[in-house]
Amino acid sequence: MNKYFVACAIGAALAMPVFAADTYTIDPEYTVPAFEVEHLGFTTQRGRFDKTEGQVVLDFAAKKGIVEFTIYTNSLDMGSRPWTYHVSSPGLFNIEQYPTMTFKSDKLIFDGNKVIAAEGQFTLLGVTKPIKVTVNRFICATNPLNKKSMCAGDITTTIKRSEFGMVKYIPAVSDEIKISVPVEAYKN
Amino acid sequence: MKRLFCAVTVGVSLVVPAYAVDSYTMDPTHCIPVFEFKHLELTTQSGRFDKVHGRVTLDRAAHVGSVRFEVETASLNMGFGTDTPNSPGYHLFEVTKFPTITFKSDNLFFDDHNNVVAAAGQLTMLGITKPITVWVSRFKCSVNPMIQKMMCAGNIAATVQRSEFGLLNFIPAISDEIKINVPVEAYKD
Repeated sequence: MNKYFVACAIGAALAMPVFAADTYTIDPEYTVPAFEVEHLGFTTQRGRFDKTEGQVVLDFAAKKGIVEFTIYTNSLDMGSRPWTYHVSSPGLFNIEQYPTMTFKSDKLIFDGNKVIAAEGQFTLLGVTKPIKVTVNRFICATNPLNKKSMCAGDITTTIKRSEFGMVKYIPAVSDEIKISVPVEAYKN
Repeated sequence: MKRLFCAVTVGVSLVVPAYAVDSYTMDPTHCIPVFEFKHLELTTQSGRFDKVHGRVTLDRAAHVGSVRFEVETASLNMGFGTDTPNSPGYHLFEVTKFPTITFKSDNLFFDDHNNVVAAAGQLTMLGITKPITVWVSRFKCSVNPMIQKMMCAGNIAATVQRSEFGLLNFIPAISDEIKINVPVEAYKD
């Protein structure tokens, strides 16, 4: 009986890879996407989406991973209610017709054990296009405050909104949009 | 009487400089300050104050000017959707005791094209006043084509150590160093 148990345990251990794929759930409070546009060539104006959800799969041995990220467009927050309402309306984010934006990637790019970029599909206003995002300051560690295992990084990318059919006010409000998303994700 | 009037007029016009000082009022909707900090040395998080007021005076030819900028601390917006008078940010900034953060400068720096490139002044936060210098990039004065009004605009960037203003809670989990960005669009009065 004892021998049988040992054999089973060894069998199970052999079947288990040294590094398994792990799944991480994004902490929405610390994963708030911000975007920047140029206003009339004068200033850099900023907006934010306050509600997101997402999951990340990471397999460091295989250097593979998956990202699924959803932004709820009705969480847009421009800093003042009239401006938020304006940017939410048809012609811009059109939030009633398009309640979500999504980014999906199954092509993470590694440099050693660090994720440095991700190639995937971004869907905005129902239009899906390939984009590449850069991952800065990627790190996996234990959050010293809650002792939970997490991976984190600062994501940046630049898109042209016209490619997604959002053409209103170009060029008064720039076609080019810079996006930055801090991501903090806890191991499931 | 007429001669006296003429004399006074000439006298006044001699006193008035060739380039007068213009004053500008900030458009609060397009002057929203964003601050960035490092969270647990992991990610770059940001917060925002949604209510501001400000005025600028400029004499570009003479390379002088002033800035008065006031931030209402109760307009703090961290994006949690739960910013209430009891949330941590409100305690950090002590919004009841210190309802405003102010920046005042009478010392603007100009480049050879009479564009403002920096401002040395005083930042007052949590009742503590310290000198800071802010950088101004992409300064430009021209007519806003949408509403045909003259405006001056620029992008302000500064870095402060919050500990210098007594804002010590959660250092280093939330970084001491804070980066501040403020787009400024101000219309000529």
